[in-house]
Amino acid sequence: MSPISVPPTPSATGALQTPNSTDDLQTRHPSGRSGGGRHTSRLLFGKAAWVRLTVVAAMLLAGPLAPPGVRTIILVTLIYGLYAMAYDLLLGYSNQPSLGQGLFFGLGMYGVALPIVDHGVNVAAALLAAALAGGIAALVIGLVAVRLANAFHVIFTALFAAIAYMIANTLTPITGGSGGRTITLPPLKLGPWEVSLYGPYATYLLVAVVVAFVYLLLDRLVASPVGKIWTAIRENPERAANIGIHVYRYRLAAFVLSGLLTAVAGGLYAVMLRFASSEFFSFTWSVLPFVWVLVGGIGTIIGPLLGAVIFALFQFYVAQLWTHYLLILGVALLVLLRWSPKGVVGVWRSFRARRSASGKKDVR
Amino acid sequence: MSDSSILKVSGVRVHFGGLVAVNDVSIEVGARELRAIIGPNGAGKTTFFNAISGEVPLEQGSVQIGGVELTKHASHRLRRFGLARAYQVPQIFGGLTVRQNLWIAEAVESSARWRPFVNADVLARQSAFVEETCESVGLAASIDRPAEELSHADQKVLDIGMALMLRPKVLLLDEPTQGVSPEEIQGIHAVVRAATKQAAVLMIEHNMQTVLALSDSVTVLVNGAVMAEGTPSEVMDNDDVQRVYMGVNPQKKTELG
Repeated sequence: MSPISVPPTPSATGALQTPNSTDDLQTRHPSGRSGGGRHTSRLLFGKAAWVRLTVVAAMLLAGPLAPPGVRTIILVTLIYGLYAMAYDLLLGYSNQPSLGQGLFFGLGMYGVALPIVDHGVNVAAALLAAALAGGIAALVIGLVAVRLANAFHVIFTALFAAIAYMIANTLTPITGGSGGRTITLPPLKLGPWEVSLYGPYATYLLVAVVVAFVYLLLDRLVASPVGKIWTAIRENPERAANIGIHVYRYRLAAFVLSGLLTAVAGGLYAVMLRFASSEFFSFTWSVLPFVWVLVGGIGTIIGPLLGAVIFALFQFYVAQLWTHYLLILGVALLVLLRWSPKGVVGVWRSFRARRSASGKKDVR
Repeated sequence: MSDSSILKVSGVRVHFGGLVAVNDVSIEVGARELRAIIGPNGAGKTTFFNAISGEVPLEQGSVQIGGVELTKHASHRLRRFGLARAYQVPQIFGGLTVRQNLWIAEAVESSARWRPFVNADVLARQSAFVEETCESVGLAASIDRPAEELSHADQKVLDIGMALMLRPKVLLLDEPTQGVSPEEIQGIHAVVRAATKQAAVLMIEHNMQTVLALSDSVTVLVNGAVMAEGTPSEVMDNDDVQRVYMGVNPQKKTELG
C-alpha cells in the first residue's frame, strides 16, 4: 500500500525497448493451446469452485426437497435469476441500461407458446425457437440501440418494448391479448425416453438444468477476455476505443446474448405457467431485472441471482404481511445502495475484506 | 527533419461552432524525436491531440504516420497504424487491476479474445510483455492492485503504460507531469525518456523544467495556431513567445486541467 510511486530504475527503463517480435500481440502460452483447453472443459472448477458447486447444487436440489408450494416459488425465482443474469450483461458489464428487456421476455414466452400450440412442436425445439427469436430481435434493435448514449439508449429500448406491447395487445388472434394463450405441453423427448412435463419434478428440473448451465456459462464468460473487454467498456468506453476496442461490436454482442437469454427465461416462464399473454411485454417486466440486479450486485453474476432470490422473498412472503411490500423494498434498496453500490455482493465483499484486512491482502 | 519524420500533420483545422480551436496547424515529428507543445491555456493543444487521435472531427487537414493517412479511420483502428496516447486526466479502467489494464491493450488484438471459456487472469499472468511494461513504468509493486486505488502519479504512468502496450510508433502525451508532486516528477521523466527510445513522442507540457529536460524541439501554440517552432533555447529566446508568456503568467503551471 505505498502511496508514492516507485521511480523506475535505469535498468528497468532499459527493458522498455522490447524488440518487436513477430508475435507482438499474441499472449504467450508456455504450453500452447492446450493450456487453454484445460480450462475449457472445466465449467465447474477453477477459482472459487465451492461457490459454483454450491449454487448449482442449490438450484438442482432446492426444488425437489421443498414442499410443492415452495417449489413453485423456487421455480419462479430461478427464472427471475436467469433473466437477472442476462440483464447484468447489459447493465453491469457493458453499461447499457436497457429498459426494454420485457420485449425479449415476452417474445420468449410466445416463442415457446406459439410453436407448441399452433404447430405441436416439442418443448426443446420451442425453447430453441424462443432463443432464436430473442437473439434476432436483439440484433435488429441492438444495431441502433448500442450506438446510443445512456439516456437515449433507455428511451429507445423502452420505446421498442412499448411498441411490442401494443402490437401484442392488438394481434389478439395470434397472441390472445391480455387474455393470453394456454399451452398444453407435449412430453419432452430425451433420446429414447419421453418425460411428461406434468410430473411433479419434471418442469422444475428442466428449468433448473437450463438456469444452472447458463449460470456456469456466464460465470466463465465474464472472467474471460471478452468479459474483461466488456468491463473495460463499462469503466471507460472512450479509453476502450482508444486502445483498439471496437466498442459497438462488443456492446452488440452483449446485447444479443442478453436478448437471447432473456427470451429463454421468458420461454421457461411460459413452460412453467403453461400460458403466455401480452402482459409480459409490459413495462413492469422491463423494470424488474433492473431492480434484481441493483439489489444483488451490479457487475457480478452471482449478484443478480441473489437479487432475484431476495425479490422473490419479498414478493411471496413480505407481500402476505403487507400489500405495499414494494414500498419496503424500495426504501431498503435505497438504503442498501447508499452504503453498498454493489448491492448484497458488495456488502459481502467488504465484510470479507474487513475480516482479511489484518491477514494477507486479497485483491479482487 | 522532413525526410525522416514519422508523424506528419498538415493544415489541421478544428472548429466548435463559430470558435476555431485549431487553425491550420502543421507539424512534423522525427522517428525518435520528442517534441513538446507549449502554449497558454485554451491555445488548442488538447484539441489538436484529439484531432490527431480521431476524437474530434477535422474540418480539414491531414494526419499521417509513416505515410499512411489516419483521418479516414475510426478511433479504435488507429493503433494499427502506430498511434497511442495518454491523457491529461488519466483514462484507465478503475475497476480492473493494473495487470488487467495493461493486458486488455494486448488482448484486444490477440486471438485470446475469441476464447470465451479461458480465464483472462490466467492469460494475463502469462504475458511477459505486461510485466515488462509494468516494470518499466515503475508499477511492479502495484501490479495486482485495482487501478482506482493508485495515487494520481501512478495512474498517470499506468495511462502511459497502457499506451506503450500498443507498441506505438507515435505516442501523444498530454501533460504527463500535471498534478504530480515534485518528488514524483523524476519518475515521470524517466518513463517519458524510456518511451522516446521506442517511439516518436509529442508531448503537451506546462512545466518548463520538464520541457527543457526532455524535449528535442518545441512548438508554441497560441490561439490555435503555431507561433514559434525550434529547439528549446531558440523558442525561449523568441520575442513573441516571451511576450505571450510574460503577459499571462511567467510560471505556467496549472494544478487542474
